[in-house]
Amino acid sequence: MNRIPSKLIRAYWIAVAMLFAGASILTAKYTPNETSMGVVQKIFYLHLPVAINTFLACLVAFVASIAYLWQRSAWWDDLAAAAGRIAVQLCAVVLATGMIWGRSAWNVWWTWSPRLTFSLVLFFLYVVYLVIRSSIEGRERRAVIGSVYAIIAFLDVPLVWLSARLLPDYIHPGNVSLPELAMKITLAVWFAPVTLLTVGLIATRFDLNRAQSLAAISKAASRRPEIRSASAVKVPTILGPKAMGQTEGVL
Amino acid sequence: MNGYVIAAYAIGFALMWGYAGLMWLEGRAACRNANSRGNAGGRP
Repeated sequence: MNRIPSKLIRAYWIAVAMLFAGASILTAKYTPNETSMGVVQKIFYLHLPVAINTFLACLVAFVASIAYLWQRSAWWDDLAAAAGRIAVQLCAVVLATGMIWGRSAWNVWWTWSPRLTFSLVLFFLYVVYLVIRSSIEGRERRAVIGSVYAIIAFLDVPLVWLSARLLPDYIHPGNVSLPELAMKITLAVWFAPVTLLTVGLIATRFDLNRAQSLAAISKAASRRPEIRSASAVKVPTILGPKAMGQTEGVL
Repeated sequence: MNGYVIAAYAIGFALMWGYAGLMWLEGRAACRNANSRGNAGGRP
């Protein structure tokens, strides 16, 4: 895989940070308050894009896990692990912002309503995914068990999505109406920085995972000459540590 | 701006950008370790 120049990657991160700043200013200064909830409804502009990106990260882990079981390439396993890790991070943001929104809008931090419960289950499913991965020694065994687990864990995503629509929920709305055009524009704008950040986070985690995997292969090759040829692989870099201003080079 | 809104955005930003920062530190440490082992490429 060809490397992306580190200058380009640094520019990517600066652009994402600037988009975040721009969306924040837009939300604070120019977006009108919603009539029934007031200013606390503005939490929604961060909450929804992060929730959608959590599902996307879970989907990447799901697809990469299927691809690993099909092709048995460590590349897919590293991608699934990266997406699973970022899914945990984003799901934590969804839960935290949702709890704060619930407290300010409905005076409750938490209720065991279907969507909230399935969201919490999703968070723990992917935490357990990381725990399982870190507790298995053999690389291939870890990849197979992790892949099977990630495929099963993904089944919770449609439950989270459909629960608010199909099951009665007294707190979490199935659909939040945005009566003014400025509100719709603000929500659309927020999708850009959050999605770009998610892509950057998954790519960086993936790059670190690849580097660790190839270092492990290299270490094993130094002990076993027959797999020495396998270590002569360039470390791919998408948006990795080099991206954030670090040294260049190959394994 | 309401305190709840500020808290929600602050926690959200901290969790997302904080993890990006942790990965940057992890990558830098890996490069430093690789360099100290004599890997001129600077990759672990």
